[in-house]
Amino acid sequence: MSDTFERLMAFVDGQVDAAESAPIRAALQVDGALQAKEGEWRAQSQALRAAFDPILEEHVPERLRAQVAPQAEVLRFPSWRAHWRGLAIGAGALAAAALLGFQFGTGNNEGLLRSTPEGVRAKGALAQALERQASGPAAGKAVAIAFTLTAQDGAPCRAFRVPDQGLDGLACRAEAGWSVIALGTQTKGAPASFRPAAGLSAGVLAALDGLQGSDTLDADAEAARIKAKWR
Amino acid sequence: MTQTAQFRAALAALIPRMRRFARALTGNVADADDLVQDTLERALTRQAQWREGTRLDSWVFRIAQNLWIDRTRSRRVRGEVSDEEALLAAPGFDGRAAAEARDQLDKVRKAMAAMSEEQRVVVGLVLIEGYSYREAADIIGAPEGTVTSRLFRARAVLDQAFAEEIAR
Repeated sequence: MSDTFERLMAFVDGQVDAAESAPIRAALQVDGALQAKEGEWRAQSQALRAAFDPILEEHVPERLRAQVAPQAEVLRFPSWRAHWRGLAIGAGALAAAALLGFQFGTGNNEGLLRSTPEGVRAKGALAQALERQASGPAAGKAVAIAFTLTAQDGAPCRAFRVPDQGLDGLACRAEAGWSVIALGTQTKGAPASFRPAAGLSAGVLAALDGLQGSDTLDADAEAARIKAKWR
Repeated sequence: MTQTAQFRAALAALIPRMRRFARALTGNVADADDLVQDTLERALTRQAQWREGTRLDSWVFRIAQNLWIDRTRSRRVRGEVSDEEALLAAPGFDGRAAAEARDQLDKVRKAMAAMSEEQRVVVGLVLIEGYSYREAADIIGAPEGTVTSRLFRARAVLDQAFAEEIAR
């Protein structure tokens, strides 16, 4: 008996194929108890769906959506500010910069970089160029600015090259001056033509990605920022 | 998109169904969403264990039901409130429904509360989520006959809940 009802249940639940369902259909024709059960079970299934299906239309709580939200594909630095506090250019990087040939200020005006407790600051010709020089070719000058962009937190940042030394870097404007957040050695034979990101070293390009910044500023926008002293 | 991004997007698409299934198991919104949250977390940490080409939904529902069964067992061991009491006390269902529909919901809720955890899992998988007996058996890691017998007993509980209402 129970076996008959189990087969009826499988039939009601759509688990049996046409061949298997034929004898069940035949039994249903003649057995009132089976018929009654079929009706009850179909009604129950319907009641269950009616009770639970509306949940599909409910608003999904933010905490659940956030769990599977897409992650940024770009490797993201905490923020460039964290970098100039010493993460990106820590002691090791400073030593590397020295090895690369960067002249550090020792009271010497020729120096381009200055080490501070908050990180590495531009000084001398580098600081002047970052502050006042337009992007583009800079024949005869110590520093060329490649381009300017705005970091995600609103700070202006500029990529630069020091052609004589085959070096490049990225600096962002902070209250106290230009913080250098990345330095690199340029690949030999960098293109003579001045295409924006071309020829920047891998480390500098990675730091640029990390900024999640805007597109580069055009000449007019950049000139306006320079004139406003980056405020 | 990377593989991980696709995986996350696929999980996100499953959340409404996971919430429906979890509500069937727990009977209330808060516990259900906690269960979904734990399930998503485990799915993300165990992504490497999911074999591409197999159904992600089955894999995720297996995680959810394992988490829930483990949790209810440990709760029973600790002597906490019985599931039936929790279910009856819980505002798990939509209060806006019309009187007749509310009556139906009441029957469903009572019947779900009266079922064992194992019966509730099978009802959730087959009658609410629409899996076949075979698929449900794969998800709970038991023979198909176990699904059939649990479902048959769950049907008897439903029969009783619906019959009592008629008798009143």
